[in-house]
Amino acid sequence: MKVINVLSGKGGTGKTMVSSSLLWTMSRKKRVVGIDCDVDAANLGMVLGVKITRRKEIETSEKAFLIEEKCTGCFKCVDVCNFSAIEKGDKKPVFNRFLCEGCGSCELVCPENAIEIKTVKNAWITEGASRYGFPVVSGQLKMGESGSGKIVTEVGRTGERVAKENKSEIMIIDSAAGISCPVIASVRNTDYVIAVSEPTPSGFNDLKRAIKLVEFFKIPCGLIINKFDINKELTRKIENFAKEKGLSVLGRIPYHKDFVDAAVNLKPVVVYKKKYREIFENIAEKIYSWFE
Amino acid sequence: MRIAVTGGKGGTGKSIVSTALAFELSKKQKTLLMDLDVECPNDHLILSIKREKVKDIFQKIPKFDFSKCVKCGTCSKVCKENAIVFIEGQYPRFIPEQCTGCNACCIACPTKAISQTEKKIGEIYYGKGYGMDLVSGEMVIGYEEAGPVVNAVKEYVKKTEKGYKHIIIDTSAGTHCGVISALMGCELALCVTEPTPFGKHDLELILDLLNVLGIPAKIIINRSDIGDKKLIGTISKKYKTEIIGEIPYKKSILDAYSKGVPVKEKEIENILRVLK
Amino acid sequence: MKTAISSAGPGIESQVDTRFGRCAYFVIVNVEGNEIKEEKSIENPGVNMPGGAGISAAQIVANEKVKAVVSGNVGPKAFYVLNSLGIEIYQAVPGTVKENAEKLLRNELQKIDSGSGGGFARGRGFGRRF
Repeated sequence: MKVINVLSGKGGTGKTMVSSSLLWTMSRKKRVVGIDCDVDAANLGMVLGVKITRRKEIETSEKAFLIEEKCTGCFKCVDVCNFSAIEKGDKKPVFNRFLCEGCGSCELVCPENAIEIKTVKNAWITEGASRYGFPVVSGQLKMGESGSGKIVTEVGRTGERVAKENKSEIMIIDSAAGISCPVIASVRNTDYVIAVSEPTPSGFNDLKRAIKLVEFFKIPCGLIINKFDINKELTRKIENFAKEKGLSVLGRIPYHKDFVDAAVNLKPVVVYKKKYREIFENIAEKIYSWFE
Repeated sequence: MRIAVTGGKGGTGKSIVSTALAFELSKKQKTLLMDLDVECPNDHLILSIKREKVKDIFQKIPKFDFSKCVKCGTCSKVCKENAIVFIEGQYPRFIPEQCTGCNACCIACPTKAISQTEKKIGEIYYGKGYGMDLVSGEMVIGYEEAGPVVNAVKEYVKKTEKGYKHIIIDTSAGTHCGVISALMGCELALCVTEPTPFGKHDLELILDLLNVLGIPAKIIINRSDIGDKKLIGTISKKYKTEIIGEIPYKKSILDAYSKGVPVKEKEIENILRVLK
Repeated sequence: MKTAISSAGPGIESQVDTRFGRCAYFVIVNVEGNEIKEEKSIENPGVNMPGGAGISAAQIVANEKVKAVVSGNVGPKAFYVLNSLGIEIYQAVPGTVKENAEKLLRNELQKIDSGSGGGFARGRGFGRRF
């Protein structure tokens, strides 16, 4: 199986649009599986009309809990916490669960053994079939919970199992925006990265940062320029940058209201309007030829 | 007033709204724009403001004094990030990229062979333009946690923030640690969304989060004329959160954005009027 | 030379697993002269680890006192650890653990010695195209 990762750096450049359309396109010739690693805000399943058949609550994060009756209020824990997650209360420390990393420093320093580190259920992983038949795995972080990087790893593992069960030939991962922990976790162990960019100063800037990350992991990478016609000069600059970096431009996608309408109707754009199929068929062919 | 501009979903126009708001506010009162989308800060690009680096951001990491080390392996055992490798009979090996600076190894070491030192995790930039001050944080590529970088920028601003009448904070997408850190301490959060099912889905997530954090929220619909506004209307009702502005899709906004100048549209002025 | 080979299952007839940190097992073999001696198979707890699996795996094989690792995708951090311990890393080829060990014996496996820089997107050096 080959693993393709769709990322962008900047949010809203069209990762989910690309992932869903490419999944649909590739599914006509190959066995595919879709993975939504945007655990902060998972949208891929919505576009693909996934009927969830399995839902699992998982624990990948740990947090510190105070055992009130043992605490004497020495506040040693407050000083030792490097994440500003413990504040001095009236008599006892107050733990901020959103900032706690579960590192255990407070537990180690507490002379009364009044702090314990416990795992918390912080995310859902769902499995199901899309309305087009192929399986989709998604992860969704519970509100305000941390540890998105670790959940991505967990989503990936579920994805691998589902891929094996379905004898998938291609896995497409829809990454989160940005370049921090969740993205790093999903970029690891992939065979090919598709970077989706748009010709705006910030789109270009974020693309450069995302490409640095890909270079760091030495993964082959191709580029899709979305809304290429809103600023042709910047599109040219992005293409020059691609040439410099030795990235191939897999495709250019125009800006059109069809894309918004497709999203509102919760359909991949290639299903919503047939005229976009050719663009994605070409992209798919270019990726297959890389794998050969 | 300290106002966060957030929204859950990426690409809904957080940065456009933040910069436009800061631009309008700075006409009359001293305004600071904080770009806390530290993974990919862009506000300086949208405003074509030249930034200068004013500070490096460091995180604590352990420093080993092997002359005191007895090769017991305790540091490796307590480290939850697998940042310390221990091979029987050898001194521990430290992997700085993996370390989150929790200090557990330092506390646990029975012979006090570990002290604290620092590694660079980001940079703080400062710039001026259109009458406003801009501070942005930028995370070192390959570093994984946005939260500490955000906190460091907030800490940096603390000394001077009293001098500003308004502080606008541009957060990154999502609801992860970097967003939570940016939101904390804000008096109001403006949630920029788009009238699509995704915009709606992610808006709910951020409103849930703001609710738990106890920060009042208002909704702004961007590209309000393409898509289905009813989607956002139902969320507004469900969460009893007011929609204070609608920004239509306009070529003039896209042009300003792609050229790197602030968006000046009457819709932004309208939002300010409601806020007042 | 004592060698750890990342594999999908226990025993020398198992298929290799090209992931280093998250492979299911490490098969420890001794490759010396013309002989391949199977020593043991270790389950890799890293397969269930939320983060830092590569580092943990490096620690496991190093504690077995191996001198070489045959695997595929060794991440930058695991690479750093193995390198600093003087453990050589060889690129696995599709097939069984035994076949890989035989290739190692005949010096037919490519040694990986770049954990950083160079080779990106220039059609060489990805070390993982199969």
